[in-house]
Formats: sequence, structure tokens, C-alpha cells
Amino acid sequence: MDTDPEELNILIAGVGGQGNLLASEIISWASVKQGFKIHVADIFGAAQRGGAVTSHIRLGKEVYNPVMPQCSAHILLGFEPVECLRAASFLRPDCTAIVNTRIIVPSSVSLGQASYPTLDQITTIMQGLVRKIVMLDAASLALRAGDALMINIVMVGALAGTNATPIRKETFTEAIKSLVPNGTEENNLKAFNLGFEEVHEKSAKTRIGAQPC
Amino acid sequence: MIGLESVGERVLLLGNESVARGAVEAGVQVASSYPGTPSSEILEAIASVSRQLGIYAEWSTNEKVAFEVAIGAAISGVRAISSMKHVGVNWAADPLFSINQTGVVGGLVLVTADDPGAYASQNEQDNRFYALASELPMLEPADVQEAKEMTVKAFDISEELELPVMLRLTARICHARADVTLGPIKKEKRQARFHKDPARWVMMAGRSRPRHKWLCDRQPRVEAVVEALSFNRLEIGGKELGVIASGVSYGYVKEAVKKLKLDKRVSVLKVATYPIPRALVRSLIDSVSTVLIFEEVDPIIEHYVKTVAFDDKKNIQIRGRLTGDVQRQWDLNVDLVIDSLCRVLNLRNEQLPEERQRLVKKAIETAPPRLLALCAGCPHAATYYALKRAVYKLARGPAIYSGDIGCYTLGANVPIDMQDTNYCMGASIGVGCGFSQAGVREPIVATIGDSTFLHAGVPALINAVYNRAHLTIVVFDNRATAMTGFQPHPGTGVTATGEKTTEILIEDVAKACGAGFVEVVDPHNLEDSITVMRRGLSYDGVSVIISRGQCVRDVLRDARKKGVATQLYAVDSQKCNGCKVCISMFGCPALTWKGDDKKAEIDQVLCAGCGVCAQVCPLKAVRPAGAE
Repeated sequence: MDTDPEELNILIAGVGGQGNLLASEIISWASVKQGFKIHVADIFGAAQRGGAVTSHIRLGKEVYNPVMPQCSAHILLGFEPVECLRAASFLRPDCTAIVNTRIIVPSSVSLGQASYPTLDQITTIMQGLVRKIVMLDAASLALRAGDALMINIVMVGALAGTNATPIRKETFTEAIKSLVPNGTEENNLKAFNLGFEEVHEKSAKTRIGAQPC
Repeated sequence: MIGLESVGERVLLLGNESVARGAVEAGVQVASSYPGTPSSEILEAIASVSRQLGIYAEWSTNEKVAFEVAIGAAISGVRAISSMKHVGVNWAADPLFSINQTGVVGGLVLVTADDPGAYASQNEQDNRFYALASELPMLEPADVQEAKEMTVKAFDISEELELPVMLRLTARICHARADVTLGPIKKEKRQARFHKDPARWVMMAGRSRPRHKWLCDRQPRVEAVVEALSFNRLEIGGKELGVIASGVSYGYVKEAVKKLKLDKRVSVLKVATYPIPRALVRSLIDSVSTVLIFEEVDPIIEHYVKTVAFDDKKNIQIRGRLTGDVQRQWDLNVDLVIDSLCRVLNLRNEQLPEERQRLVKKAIETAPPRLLALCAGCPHAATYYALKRAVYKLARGPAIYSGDIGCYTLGANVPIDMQDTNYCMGASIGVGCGFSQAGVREPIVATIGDSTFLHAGVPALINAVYNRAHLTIVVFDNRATAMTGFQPHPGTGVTATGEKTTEILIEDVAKACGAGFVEVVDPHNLEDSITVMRRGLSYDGVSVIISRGQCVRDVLRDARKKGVATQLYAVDSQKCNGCKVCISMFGCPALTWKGDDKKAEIDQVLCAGCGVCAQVCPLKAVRPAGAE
């Protein structure tokens, strides 16, 4: 059994329907498999349809509740660019943000009631908030693995690729095999590996932002 | 997962699964529920092991029936659990206020899943009041592991006290996941036997009087049993402040105390039961001069501490929701607890430096709002569009839409904007009757889902017919209780455990209730739907239109399972003139606006291939993707 980290907080921020809950379950399942104490909160409103959805994943022996306070997330798994901004209060200055660049346009924007910032604007704001940003087009990678719906698994792969958690790569793959629907294991593992490799390759191009406090 | 027999193993469980596992460990034999966030996974988990462990599990037509099913089992000597969301207990309240007087033989646990902050509900009512009002014991877990242990304990004390026990969860427990240590599963089954005893079981005028005395006489024993439970705990730290916390607030307090390094300065009382543990409250208020109370949502413990302080003639400060030291409404979190502790102890809150606050504010303000919307391909969106057109063609001015509880409530958001009222299950028809009888002149349309119609709509429909109301009822029938996670209901012909059963047809029910106009339409065929709806709206009396289309989530799931590719749709940018009817009138989330060339576009990841937008587009600019 591995030793519990003191405290490690992972925040997933995305849009209902992106499979954030399955990603949260895979990370939690893998954590428990390695013997870590864990508290997880999946926070979604009515129906989880198209609204902002977050999952708080907290590992560690000194964690008492599943909802992290502000300025606590060591890792942000951002499934959608502006959802990363919406999660800003939870991020630590030394946070690593893994961001899917694929945009989901809110109806407020389609209807002309609000505007969607450019990716550059989002990156600039995020650079002021976190230490490290890793960006990837998870939707294209998921499509390459066989199904655009698997961006959640690509993102889990990217998380594993950063080496920022004590969860081993093989524990993640074991979790995926146990939790995805029967018959989809092979494609999901492909998606996981594409995410993993992408982030490993990206590490050279990492953008450096705020300094840790 | 909840059927595992490996005692001592640590597994990842959802709070609701933890409760289900507790019921299984306690040897529950009957489980009943009606789906409702955040409670639904409890029955789903029990149903998933029903065959393996010989447990009867059902989705009932509503919470009142569900609780009555559990009562029938418990007064026959077997253990039963009934779970529901907080507002579901309003339905079950009727039998609750009689079963408290008869008591039970087999353990009976009523689980209320409250929603502080009303994230998935029409209100955030605090169901601890039900335990107080019905004079029944209630347990309230602080975390996922405790949720399991308390469920097992609830069955034991229910039998010891011969009373139903309430278990109060909140959404933060229901939908939290944690590692849970498994206990042994009680496997021996009891034979259900009902022993006739009219003086006990027949609650009628005259006979209920002595039973209320029985309940009152029992209270000292209830208090003694509940107070002795180790879930209640006083952690002595220091005398500067006494903190009382219940449920998830306890975890928030622990984290806040650690962050502010207050462990040597404050003492913490964890309250986990109702009746509230009087002896522990006394010990705390004996040693401190100020008490600060964290509870969700209403100041129940706060009032109780005041009565104890009054009885004991203690002149102490009691602070919390009533004194403005904790926000008066809504759920709490660690940051709010830190705020309150800092205020009461005169500390500076330095958790988020000002410079950081400025950056965070800017980030959040840059993010455009994201309202909940019906899914791409949702049959309800098509039904709303047809209805909007039918009302327009009727030329009697805008209609009044009395709304109801389900996915279709999202029709309240722009651009659909067709829910003028929303109260509770079935209220669309009842309130619609009121509009009609009061003489409101606009066309009145009650919108109600299939599961909601069977839950609460039927008596209201009978009322509408009986009292000769004028209204149109549109049943949004997507063949599932979709909003809560696709549970089956009587209209689907499948039970909670997957067996086939009699399919209750809503059109048959509506006709049997005496509605003079009953028609079924397919929302994917807009022209037909509009024609039928127009006729229904013109009908002199009560018209019922059932708009039946399988939930798009189920359609896509089936297609995926069968390996059938979905034909998506695309906009022909040559033909699109940018009129925006599709975006501003129909409003499918897959339709987006290309600002640069002022044309509509269909997101090929979100598109579900329903083809309704091709019928909506006045220029026929939408066609199957890939077609020339």
C-alpha cells in the first residue's frame, strides 16, 4: 500500500455531458486502489445538461470533507476553456492546469447576450493565476481514438502524463478497464494513451506563469 | 459493488451507495423509492443486488406510495427502507404522521436526501423539522463512511424503540465519493407476518388518542438511546469558543480549525442525532462563554441550545444563523466557516490575498454564463417549438404555461422561455385549473412529464375534468424519468429490477379520467404536432396531447450499443441567410452562430441527428451532413 500524500486536491471543471463524472470516478477508483484515503464531490445542478459541472477530488490523511476551500487545487483538469476561468477561486498559485482547448459555446453566446473570450485572452488570465499550463486538443485526440465522446479519458491520460499525482499509469489503465462500458475498453485505452503521450510531448513547450506563493 | 462480501475491504462508494450498502449489511428485505436528486442512487444500488441477495426493490409511483410499501413490510416484521428527496417527504408526510403513532415491528428507515442550496430542487427545505414534528429519531451522517454505519444503526434502534428512524442526508453526502470499509452482510431472511391488533394498527378517531400518548411516553427512552450513540462527540480543545456542527458542516469545521490553527483554542461538538444530545450540549456550554453553530439549513440546533441555556440559567452568547454570524440561508463550505470563525474570534481572514482576489474576479467575469439547456436532439425542445408555433397560429395571444418538475422545466430558460410557473410535482395541472376557474383569459397550457403525470398528474387531471376547467395538458413523454438518471416508471413497462410488466399507457389513463380530447403526437414530426396542438388548444374543455419521443440520451445509447452510425445534420452556408430562427426560436445547443460570416452552424460533436432543425429552418438550409 502506498503512503497517503499529506493533501492533494484535483479539480475537474467542465460542461455537463462531457463525461466529467466518469473521469472523476476513474481518478478516485485508482486512488483507492493504491490505498489512498479519498474524498470526492461531484457538483452539478439540475440534470447536469449543458451547465457548468465540477468535481473536487481530495487525497490525503488530513482531509475531512470533499469540497475544497478556495485556493486549494494543486491540479486543474479543465475540460473546457472558459470553465477553467469559472473555477479560478479554487486554484493555488502553484497549480498545474491541464486545459482542453475545445470550446463549447454557451447559449448566452449564441444568442448574442455574452461573448466568448479568445484562447489567447484565456491563456493570459490563466498565466496570472497558475504556475503551469498544459494545453491540448482533447476532442481531436478522442476522435483519433475512435469517438469524440472520449475526451474525458484523453484528459485522464493527460493527467497521468504530467506525473503530478502519486497514481501510477497502470493503476489508471486498470481503473479505465473496470469502469468503462464493456466492449469499449480498447478504444478508451487508446484515448488514454493519446492524452498521456500528448502531455509528455508538450512538457517542453510548457508555459510558465505565476510563481508559487 | 455494494454486494461485495469481503469484510474489511476498502472500496470507493458514493454516499448514496454507502447508505444502500448499510441497508444490505442490516439485512433489509424491502426497499422502495421514487427517483429524485440527490436520492436516486440509493434504490438503484439496492436494485442492482436485489436478485443476488433476495431483496425486493421497487420504484413506486410516488413517495407516499413508496413509504406505504415500506410501512406494510415493517409492520409485518421485516426490515424496510424508503428513500426520497427532501420534497418527496412532503408526499410521504401523510403516512409518516400516523406510522409514528403505531410504531413498527421490523426496522423501518426513511431516508430524506435534502438539498441545501437548492442545486437540483425547487427549494432547500430542512427536513430535520419532520423528525421534530413527528417526534421520531433522526440520524445525520457527517461523511460517506458514517452514512453506512448510521444506516445499520438506524435499523437496530428502529427495532429497539419500535419506531421508524429517519436518516437525513444532504446532497454533499449523497453525491460524495469516499473509501468505505465494508462490514458483514446479514443474510438470514425473516418471514413476513402481520399480527392483527386493531388498537395499534387502525388509526381512526378515538383509537389514535392513546397512540399519541404512547409516542409521547416513549420520548425519554428515545432521547436516552439516541444520546448514547457515539456519532455524537465532544472534542475538547480550548475554552475560547465552543463550536457545534452537524452533517457535512462538521468536516468544514475540522478543516477550518486546522487552517486557522485553532485546535488549542476551540472545542467542537459534533451533533449527529435528533433528539439533540442534551448532556453533551450541557458539557459544552458549561465550559465556554460563546457558542457558534454551523448547521444546514435552518437554525434548529441554535434554537435548541437556547432552550438548554435557558433551562440551565446559563448567560452565554449563542451565535449562528439567527445572529447573522452564519449566512441565514443556503449551504455552507469551508470558506464560509472560516469567515464566521474569524468574525467571532476577531481574526483577520487572510485566506485569499487581495491581489489574488482581483485576478479571480477578472477570470470569473470573463467567463460567459452557461445556463442549463435541453440536450441537443431532445424531443422536449421539438415539443416546445411545435407548441410555440401552434399557440402563435391560434392567434389568441400568448399562452400561460404552468410548468412542472422534470427535464422540461429547463424550457424556462432562453430561448424557449415557456415555463411561467413551477412549484412541485403535478402542480402544472392543478395550478392550470386555478387559472381557468379564476377567469384568466389567455390559453392555459399545463406542461408535464410522463413520470410526473403518473406520480401526481392523474388526480389533478380528474379534478380538471370533474370541475370542467378549460385547459390543454401537454405530456412531455420521453419514456423515462430522464432528469434523475433514466429510471423506469409505470409507463415504460419495466420495473426497477429490469422485469417486464404491464405498460400503463398515458392516453388510456387520460381517456379513463374523462378528458374529451386525447391525442398522441411524435414531436419529431413538427407539422403534424403543430396541427394536433392547434386542435387541442381550440378544444372546449380539457384536452390532453401526449408528445411521445424517446429521450435522445437513450436513443444515442441504443445506437452506440448496436453500432449504428447516427446521421448528423449540417447547415448549407450558401442557403443560410442568417435569420437566426433556429437559434433564437428553437435553441438546440448544437446550433451556434458564426459571427464572422453571420450564418448558423451545427456543432458536429453535439448534433444528435434528430433532424428537427431541418424542419424549423424556413429556407431549408439544414440537410443531412455529407449530402450534396
